[in-house]
Amino acid sequence: MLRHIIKLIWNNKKNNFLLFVEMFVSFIILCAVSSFMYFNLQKISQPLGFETTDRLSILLDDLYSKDSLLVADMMTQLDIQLKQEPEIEEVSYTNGPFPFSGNQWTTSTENNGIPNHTLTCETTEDYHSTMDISLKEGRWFRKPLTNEDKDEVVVNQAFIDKNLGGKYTLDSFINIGEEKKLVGIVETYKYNGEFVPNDPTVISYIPKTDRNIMNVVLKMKPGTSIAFQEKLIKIITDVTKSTSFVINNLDDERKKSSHDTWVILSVLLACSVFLFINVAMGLFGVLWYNINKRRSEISLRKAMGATNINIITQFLTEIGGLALLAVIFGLIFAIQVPLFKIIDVDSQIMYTGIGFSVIFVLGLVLVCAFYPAWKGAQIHPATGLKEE
Amino acid sequence: MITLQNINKLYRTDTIETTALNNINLQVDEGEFLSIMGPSGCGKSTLLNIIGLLDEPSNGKIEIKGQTVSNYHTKETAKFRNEHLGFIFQSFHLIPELSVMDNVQLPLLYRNLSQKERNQMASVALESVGLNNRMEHFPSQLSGGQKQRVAIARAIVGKPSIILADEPTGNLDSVMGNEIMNILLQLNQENKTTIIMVTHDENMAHKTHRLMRLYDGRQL
Repeated sequence: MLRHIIKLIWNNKKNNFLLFVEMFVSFIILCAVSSFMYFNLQKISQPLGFETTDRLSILLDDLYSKDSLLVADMMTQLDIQLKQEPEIEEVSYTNGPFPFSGNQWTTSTENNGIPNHTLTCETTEDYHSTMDISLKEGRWFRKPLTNEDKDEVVVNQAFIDKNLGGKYTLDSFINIGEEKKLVGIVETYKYNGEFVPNDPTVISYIPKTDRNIMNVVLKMKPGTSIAFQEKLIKIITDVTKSTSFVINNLDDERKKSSHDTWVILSVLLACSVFLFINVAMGLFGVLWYNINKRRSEISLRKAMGATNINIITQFLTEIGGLALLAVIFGLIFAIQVPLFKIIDVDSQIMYTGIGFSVIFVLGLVLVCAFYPAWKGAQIHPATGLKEE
Repeated sequence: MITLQNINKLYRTDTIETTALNNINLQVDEGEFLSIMGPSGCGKSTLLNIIGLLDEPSNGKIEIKGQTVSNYHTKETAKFRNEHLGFIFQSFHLIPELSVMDNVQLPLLYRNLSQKERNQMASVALESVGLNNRMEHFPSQLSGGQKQRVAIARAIVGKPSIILADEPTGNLDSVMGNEIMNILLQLNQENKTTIIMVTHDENMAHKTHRLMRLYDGRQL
């Protein structure tokens, strides 16, 4: 029977060609959209690794160009003043790549000729308690810090997996351009937002008096009014003798950092749903038309001994076979992307997207074909045979 | 072989009731060649469809080969048609996308047969109608007479005991028509196949064993 159906598909190739192209194009589009969706869903399913509620960040302007002693004195004063405020629970400091800044600082090392790209950022010893960063293993930088502590690093799990091949010993030294002591591991630390991949990241220590400090992070008491920011502005202005700074609410920054990706995802999803409704309606219409055109063939088959199940199976196999051919043809193209790493996305994500697309396209085709096939099977042979 | 008792067929719409067959009683013996004649719309094809289980009578009883087939369910009917009945139609009803060989094999698809067995049976059937040199041709490459011979091969490929032919020569010229009629006569004589043929052609009808005439759904 299968051979018979393959012959029918092949001998009817002119009529089937457009249907084949429609299914092929739909499959390719779905592969791309579903991989992109899955890629982003996977990223968003991984936690940021820190809290943003009741957190403020203050971007200080250009401390680097100032005298280091002056900066040290100024930062010490600022720290004292901020910690005196009852609305502020914790204060800590970071360098350029601070949460949602969009800044990146990358270090590249080589491991047997393979380059390892690592995001690095520097924070003070209070940063993990300010941001509620939970450690998977080990510890954060010690307080008070010793000279030895200054070479300590905390890394994320992605760093362990990708750069160390999953092998590590706490308190041993690792090479990230220079030797650093691995003291702690966090699961994720996606400081540039939810849709940013959990890339290998190293967090190292920076003293709060360093002129590379760019950002102050505050953990506020829950329910602190926005009016407190007025007082905050006065403190900073008084200490830094500058009005050139920006206060950001990290919750707002978090939303802003994801906004564009959500828009793209929503537009893509809407376009895909619209496309597939059209494809489904088109398929349904074409199959309905084809089956109606074949009323006398259906009647003939019934006269020759075909049951209703035989008729339904035949039409589902025909359209399913055509869809399978379109999907196989599409797979030849789609599989090249993860196979040859044409785009820098985890192959597993692409394979999942492709797998989903195979099931979806075949499922959609069979669902759309079922009703016309069932209606075809109900044709009364005596009626259908009168038709040419 | 075939017994019809008090067969009636009514077509009803909301406003009109049409009697297509009115109290038909018929007995056809094994190996008999019966022809049915009558003017257009007298119920010939309806009667043939009822005997072929393609249509159901409004009432009455049908027995074929000792089995009361009028009580059969859809699945049993399909199996019975496949195993015992062969159909030949005026307009051939060949599937244009399939080769002669594949068209002939159509009834065999609904039996549990291997491809090899189907090929063998189809080759024998095509040989018996003199078309073994046209196996890979498509219907569009054949003449009307050749198409009807393919249809005959398809009807006999499953070795049915009954062949129902609805105006098999109706679309053919007299030479081709005679050729087809000779094949049917040969099938009837050599294989003892029971044939019921609807025709408009008196000459053809007189070549059969018995002629039944219908008029306005009644037997004359």
